Amino acid sequence: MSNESTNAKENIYSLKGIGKVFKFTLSQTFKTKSYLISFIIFVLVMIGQKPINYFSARAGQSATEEAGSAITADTIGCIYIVNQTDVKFSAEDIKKNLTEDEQKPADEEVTPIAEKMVDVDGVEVDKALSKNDCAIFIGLDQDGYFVKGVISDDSEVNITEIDGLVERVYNNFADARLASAGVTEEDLAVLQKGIYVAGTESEADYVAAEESTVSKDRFSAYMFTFAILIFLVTSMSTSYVIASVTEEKTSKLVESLLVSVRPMALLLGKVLAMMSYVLLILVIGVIGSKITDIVMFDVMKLEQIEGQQQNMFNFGMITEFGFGGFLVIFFSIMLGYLVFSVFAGMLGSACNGTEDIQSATGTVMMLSMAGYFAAMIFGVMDKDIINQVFSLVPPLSFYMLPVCYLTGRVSLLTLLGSFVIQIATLALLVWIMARAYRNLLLADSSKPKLSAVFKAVRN
Amino acid sequence: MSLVVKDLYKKYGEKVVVDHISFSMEKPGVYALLGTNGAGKTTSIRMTLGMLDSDGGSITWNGGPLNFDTCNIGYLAEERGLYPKYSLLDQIRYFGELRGVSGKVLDDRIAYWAERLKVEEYLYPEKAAEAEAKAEAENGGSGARKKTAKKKKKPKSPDQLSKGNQQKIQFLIAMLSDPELLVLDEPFSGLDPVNADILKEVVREQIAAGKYIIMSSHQMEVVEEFCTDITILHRSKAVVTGNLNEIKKSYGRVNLTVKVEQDITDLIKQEGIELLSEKEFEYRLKVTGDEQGNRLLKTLVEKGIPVVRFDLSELSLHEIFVKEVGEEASEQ
Repeated sequence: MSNESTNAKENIYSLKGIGKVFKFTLSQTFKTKSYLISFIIFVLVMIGQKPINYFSARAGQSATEEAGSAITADTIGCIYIVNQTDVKFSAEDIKKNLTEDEQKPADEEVTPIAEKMVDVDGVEVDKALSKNDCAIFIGLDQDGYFVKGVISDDSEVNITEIDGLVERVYNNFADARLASAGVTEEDLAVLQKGIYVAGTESEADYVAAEESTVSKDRFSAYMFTFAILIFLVTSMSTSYVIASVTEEKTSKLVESLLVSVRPMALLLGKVLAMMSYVLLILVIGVIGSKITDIVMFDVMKLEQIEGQQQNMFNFGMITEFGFGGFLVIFFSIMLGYLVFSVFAGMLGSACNGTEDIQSATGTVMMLSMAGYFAAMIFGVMDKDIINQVFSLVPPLSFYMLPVCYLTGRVSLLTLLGSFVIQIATLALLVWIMARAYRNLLLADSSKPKLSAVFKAVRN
Repeated sequence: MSLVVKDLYKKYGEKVVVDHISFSMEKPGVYALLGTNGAGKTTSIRMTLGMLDSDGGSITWNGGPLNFDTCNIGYLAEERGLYPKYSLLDQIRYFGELRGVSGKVLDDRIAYWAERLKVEEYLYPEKAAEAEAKAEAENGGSGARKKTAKKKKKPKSPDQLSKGNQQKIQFLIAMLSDPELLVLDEPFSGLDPVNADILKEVVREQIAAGKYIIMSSHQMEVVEEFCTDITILHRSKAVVTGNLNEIKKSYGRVNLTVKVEQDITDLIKQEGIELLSEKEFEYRLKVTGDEQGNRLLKTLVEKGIPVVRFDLSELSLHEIFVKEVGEEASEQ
C-alpha cells in the first residue's frame, strides 16, 4: 500500500476542532492584560476621535474669528484712514462694523478705537505721524487695490495692533468695493469658480456620474475614514496573529497541537478569534462614535462644523449608508481582514524568533500601509478609471471597493465581481496555507519570506 | 490492532532524512526507536503520526490510515512546551477538549493524573494549601499556614515551573484522552530519579493495560527495561530492527564476569580472552561466545580455583547501540 493511498483519506482542509481553538484563543485574549488594555484604548480612541476633532476644529475656528474681530489699539494714538481710490469708503464704514467691545471697551480709561479714527485726504507721513500714530493707506496700483499700514520711524506702536487694523480695513474695504459694483458675495463665489472641459463620455458613464451621491470632498473623507478603518483592523489583527502563531511555535507547542487539530483549523480558529476581538472593538467603537454624535449634536445642540475635517475619523459614517451599506462595509472589512490575517499567519508560521516576528509584521504592515496611502491618494483624485480598476484589484480593492460602491462610483456588478475576486484570493491563500502551514511550523530554520512559504507548499 | 510502518521515506531537497524505514507492532507493548542525534527518529515519529507528509512508504493502523481521527493518540513530543503565560488548567482543558474529552470526564481525568504525577499543587494551589494547613493543624501546628493559604492561592504560570514539572504537565496532557497509541519521545530526559520512577510506574501500568507505546530515548537501560522490539536508526537508515531478545541472541553471549579469590590474569591471557577490567579479583571479560566462556570455567574448576561468581551474558542494548552506530557517530 502506498503512502498516498493510506494518507489520502486525511483531509488537510478539515476544520474539526476550529471551534475549540477559537474559544480558547478568544478567552485567553481577553484574559491577557495587554490585549485587554489595547481593547479599551482602541475603543476610547474611536469614541473620542469625533469630539477631539470637533473641539480642536472649533478652537481653531474661534481663534481665527478672534484674530479677525478683537482688534485693539491701546498703543495707538491716532489712526489716519487715507482712501486714495474711487471707491466710496471712509472711517465710518469701519466704525459701524466694530464690535460692541471695540466700540465701548470694558476698561473705561481706554479710548475706543472709533474715536481714534480720522479720515484724511492725504498725509505727509514724515511730518504728521508721531511715534504713537499710524496711517492706513487704501490705494490702487498696477496689481490692484491694496491696504497698507504706515508708522513713523521712531514708532512705539505695537505691530500686531496695526496688522489687526489693516486686516479689518481690508475686509471692510472689500465689502465696500463689491457693494459699489453692485456684486454680492454669492455672485463673486460663482464668478470665481473655474470652467473645465469634461470631454465626451458614454451614456452609461453619464448616468453613473449623475447617480453619484456625494461630493468629491465627501468621497475623499469617506475613503480616508474607511482606509483608516481597514488599516486599523489589519494592522492590529495581523500583528496579533503573527505573535500568537509564533508563540506556539517557539514555545514548542505545535507538535502537541498538530496531533489534535489540523493546521487549517488551528490557524483559522486563531484568525477568527482575533477577528471577533477586533470586530468587538469596531462595533463598540462605531456605536460609541454614533452615540457621541447624538450627544454632541442632538442633546448638547452643538453647532455642526462643515467640511472635510469633520468627516474624517467619523467612524459613525459606517451607519450612514443604511443597513445594505453597513453589510457591504462589514463584508468588505471581513474579507480584507481574513486575507491579511491568513497571509500574516503563514508568515508567522515561518518565524523562529523576535527578529523574524518583526520582519513578518513589517511585511504585512507595509502591504497594509501601501493600500491605505493609495486609497487616500485615489480618494482625493476621485478619477473614474482609478475607482473602477482599483475597486477590482486586491489588495487595493479591500480599501476602495465599499466606498466607491456606496458613493455611486462603481456599479453593483463591479461590487459583486470584486467580491468574487476577493473570495478567490482568500481561497487561494487558504489552499496555500493548508499545504504549507504544518511544514512551516515544524521547520526550525525557515524565514518569514514568500519563498519559504512556496518551498513549504512543495514539500 | 496493529501498527505497520513500511518503507517510510522522506527527503528535504536532495537530503534523505528517513531512508526506507519499516517496523511493526502486531500486539500491545513498547517499541523503541533509537538512534543518534539527527538519525531520523523524530521525523519518523512525525510522519507516523501524520504531522509530516512522507515522500514514500505507508503507515497503517488496523489496516487503515493512522491519524488522530482513526486512532486515539497520546503524544509527548521531544520538543516540549506550554503556553508560557496562560493558566495551566486552562491550557490542560484546551488540550483535553481538542482530544475529544470534555466536561466532568475531563475534570476527573485532570484531577486523577494531577494526583498520580504529583502536580496537584500547581493545578489546584488553593486545595493544596488548604490540605497542607489542615495537616498542620491535625499535627498540632499553630495554623499559621492557614493564614498564608490565601497568599498561595494564585496558581503558578507555566514559566514559573521547573523543567521537570513542566514535563509532567505535558505527560498529563498526553494521557488525558486515555490513548490507545502512546508516543513518548525522550520521556525521561530531564527528570530527577523520583519523578522518573513516577513516570516509569505509569508506563508499566499502560503496558499492563494493553496500550501500544512507541518510545524514543537515549537512556538505553530504560528502553531495555520496557521494550520488546527496537529499531536503531543511523544516518536515516535502520541498522538494527526486530525483537530485542532475538537481536541480543544474534550477538551471542560475550560478556563474562568472573569473581574468584586469587589472581587469574595469566590464565585469562592463556585462554586468549580480552580483559576489560579487574577489581579485587572480579574480572570483566569479553569472550567470543559460550564456548570460550565455558572453556575458562572448566579450566578454573580443573585448577581448583574457587569460583564465587560466573556470569556469561548477552550484550546490553547500550553495547549493541554503540557497536552499530558508535564508531561512525564518534567520527561525525
